Amino acid sequence: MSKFQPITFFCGESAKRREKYTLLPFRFTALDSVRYVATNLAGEYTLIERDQLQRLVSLQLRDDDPLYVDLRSKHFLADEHSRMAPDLLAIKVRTRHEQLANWTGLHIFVLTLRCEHACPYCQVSRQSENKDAFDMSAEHADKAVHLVLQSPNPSVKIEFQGGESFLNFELMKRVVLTAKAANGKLDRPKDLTFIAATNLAIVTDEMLAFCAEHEIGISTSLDGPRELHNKNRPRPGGDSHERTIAGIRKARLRLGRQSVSALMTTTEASLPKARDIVDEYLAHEFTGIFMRPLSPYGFALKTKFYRAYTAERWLQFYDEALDYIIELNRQGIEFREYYASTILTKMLTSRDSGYVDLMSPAGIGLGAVVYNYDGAVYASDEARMLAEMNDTTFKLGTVDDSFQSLFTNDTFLQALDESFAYSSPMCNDCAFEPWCGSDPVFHWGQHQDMVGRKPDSEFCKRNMHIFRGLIDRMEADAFVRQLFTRWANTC
Amino acid sequence: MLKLRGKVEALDVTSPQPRLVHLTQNADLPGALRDRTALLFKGADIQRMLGQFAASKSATKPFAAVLLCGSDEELACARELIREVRDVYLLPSDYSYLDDGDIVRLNPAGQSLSAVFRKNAPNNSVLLTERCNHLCLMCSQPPKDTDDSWLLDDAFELIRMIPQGTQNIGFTGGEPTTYGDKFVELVEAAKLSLPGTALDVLTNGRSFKNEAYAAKLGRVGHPDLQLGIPLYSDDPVRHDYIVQSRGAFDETLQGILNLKRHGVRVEVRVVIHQQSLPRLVQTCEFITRNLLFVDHVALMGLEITGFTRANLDILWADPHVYRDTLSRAVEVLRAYGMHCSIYNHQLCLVNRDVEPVYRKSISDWKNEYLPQCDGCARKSDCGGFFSTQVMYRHSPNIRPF
Amino acid sequence: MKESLVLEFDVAAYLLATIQKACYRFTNVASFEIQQRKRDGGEVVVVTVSPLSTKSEGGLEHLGQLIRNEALDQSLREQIRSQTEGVRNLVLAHAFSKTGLIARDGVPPTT
Repeated sequence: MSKFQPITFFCGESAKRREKYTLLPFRFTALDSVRYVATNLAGEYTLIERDQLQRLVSLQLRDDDPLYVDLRSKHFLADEHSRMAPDLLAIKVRTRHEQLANWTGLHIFVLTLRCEHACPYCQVSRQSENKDAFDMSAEHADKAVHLVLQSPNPSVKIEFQGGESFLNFELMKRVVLTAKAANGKLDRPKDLTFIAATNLAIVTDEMLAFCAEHEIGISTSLDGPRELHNKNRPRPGGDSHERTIAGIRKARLRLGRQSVSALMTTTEASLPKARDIVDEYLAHEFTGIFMRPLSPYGFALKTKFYRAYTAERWLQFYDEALDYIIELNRQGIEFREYYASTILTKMLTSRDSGYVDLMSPAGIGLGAVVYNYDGAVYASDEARMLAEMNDTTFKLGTVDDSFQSLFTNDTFLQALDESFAYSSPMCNDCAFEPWCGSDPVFHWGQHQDMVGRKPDSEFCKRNMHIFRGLIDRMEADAFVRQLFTRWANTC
Repeated sequence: MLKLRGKVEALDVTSPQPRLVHLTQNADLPGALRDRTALLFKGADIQRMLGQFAASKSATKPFAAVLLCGSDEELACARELIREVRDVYLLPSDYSYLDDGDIVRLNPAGQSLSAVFRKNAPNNSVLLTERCNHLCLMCSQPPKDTDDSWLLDDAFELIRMIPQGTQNIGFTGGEPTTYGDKFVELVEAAKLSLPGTALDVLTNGRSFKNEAYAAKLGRVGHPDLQLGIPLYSDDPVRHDYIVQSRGAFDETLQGILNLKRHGVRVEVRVVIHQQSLPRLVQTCEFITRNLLFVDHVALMGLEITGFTRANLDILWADPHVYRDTLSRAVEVLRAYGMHCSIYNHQLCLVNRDVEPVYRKSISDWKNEYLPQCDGCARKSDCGGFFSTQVMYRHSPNIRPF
Repeated sequence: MKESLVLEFDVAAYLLATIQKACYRFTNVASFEIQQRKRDGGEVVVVTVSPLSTKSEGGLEHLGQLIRNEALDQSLREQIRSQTEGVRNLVLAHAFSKTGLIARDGVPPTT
């Protein structure tokens, strides 16, 4: 029918005049020798080859090039056909930063330093069982609870750590009960949840009953198959693995199948055993594993465990495990890697996975805060570990201090300001910056500088390798892309 | 396909004014209800009961009209019996689906009738206007540029007549928001008259680029309202082309954003055809990136009516051929946790992986099956075809399960 | 005999403060003398680097490279910080917005 216009009518005058387009803000970083990763203002990525990038930037890309239509749709360029990009980008950028204003969501209580394990990589100094000087006091706990509830966050998670948190079970109970009572009295009670980090070796039925009653989740350590786990995590009797497995079974029966999560710590002995470790998690009915590298703090540094392997070697280990996990999924086994999932959430959605170690502004204080057994308040777990090595740079104060004075601590403010990734050289123009973070404590510990120099930074090397690796896998295989998209959205 | 409106013979009318009436087959209906109700005799009942009714009629209050629906012979017999009855309408047997509780519009001067509400239908749509500022290539209700605001007046009255227990109704057009503030008033009237009835409105959403207008609709606070807004591509040129209006893409998006800002539920609708297929997956990705807060996404099959027939050569696509693209599109939406549905497709033409979102959806009055569907094990799960697809175009790949 | 290394920085490319910051990082291994001089119609900052210990001479060359890199790093930090001040302040203000810790404009600090 003649009253319908053909599509060329809607291409408009630019079809005749070849009117130029404008670039929207974006950054690009090499993926490999041919392709670049480009990210727009909202942290959404696209791949582009060097010659295409050249044409794009010199405003020579033609509007009948399919790449042009894609780039316009993905908010890398704009033209006369739509003025929606600024509004849509603004919404996405706002969404990305929304959670920041909620302030601290994770509150870590170090109930005691006592522990009957003697893990060489432990960041906390080990004290034998009979030193009550290393338990948190009731007074300190009460004050800490009061501080917790002053966080403006509508959701607050209290995590019990140690040493072995259940060695101070009495105080754990006290904190849970007083926190719930005080929360109930607030004008707007928070969504309050609890989790206990424990090696499960000494957990009793009474403890599990309490956890069941108050819906306290369990986070335990499972480093791998028995031999590896017991080698990494010695205790009197050498039966850490047996006790952990038995504890996991009991906890699941009492608290629910999803109530127990496990973390693994990588040591030199772990490195050749990536598949075995994943298999161990599969065997014990976990639906995922969190692969995290060794932190350069505490005993790890003292005993040179940290230097026992390089960042490169760890990345090999990580890649082997991730590829194995992908193969499992291809066979229909639903099992995920949580570190990748957390990063994929940042890469593929505008949601905030709330992972403290990958935040800019830094997650210290803002994302998590630590109330130590001695009443000291630290800006992060790593900050506490640094203090164990006699560096109290990131101590905010004590539980006797007010919320105001803790969070206006000069060093804290300085750290947030100085380590802001977007203001840091190399991060400022890095395509991966929206997905990455700053880690002032790590960089301070390594380089005595909150920003560090990214060319030297293992934090940077590790993250860039992972970003590139995830993109490579997604682009090469549609199955992996779909799998990763699901992981990103169900984190 | 049911005939919902058409010419009928109206005899001995009291007034030429069109009116909406309830239908009943109960000749003993209490007098107090009769002035807004028409008495319906169907088929054999005409012979059996009409005589008695005609005889007793002088003693009782008259109905608004008497409708006789049957074959030519049955209607011929009736003419004698109804000589003294006023406002009689003779309906061919096409209208034998009419039943108690339905609502019809009688147009004595125009000698026509429309079934505007059917109690037994799973969905009822109220046409508000045929005016529209778009000219979609595949429009099933081609626009007319005449003043048909009587449709709106009727709608206000109709919603007062529709029974309270009705699950859902729809407002369609043309473009319903052509009426501006009066449209919002209608939604409010629906809220007050039918608070328990879900309301679906089909609109291109462009009027809501004016945030104040979106706010107005939001303030009505209808308990169960959803606006179905089409977005045919992530490419503004392509979307504007499909709806044949420059600037449509931006205004529609602006409208969607404003509606969500003011708490109105929005469904994004994508009709799948040759013009939207090349970027169907990219369009769904665009939705997950920018419109994640939208309440539902509907992926719709083509109905071969209206403009679609005229543009068939540039629109037609065989679902069997595009089934993998459809699967990828659905996978994208579901991976991002978006609610979505596939409408107006046949079950044997889609991949199994999309069955969780496949809906048996073609309106009952226009749905049919093909001969090769006989003996299909999953016929009851399948929405069948648009009657117009049976008539004009459908996939050659239909196979029974 | 202790060697020293002379480095020159174009004033047009580097702020004095930047060079000072760069040198400062190596004050544990060297001492520095910093002067500003005219050169070829422009100005340069001349830095004389004297190692504190009599260690290897090859090390001095390397030290010079490290100092130059550090100067670049500090220079970039300065530029980028000032260019991105607006964004940084906006995001940090948003982060603190619900803590009650941000003073209203015009209200003097309490300490």
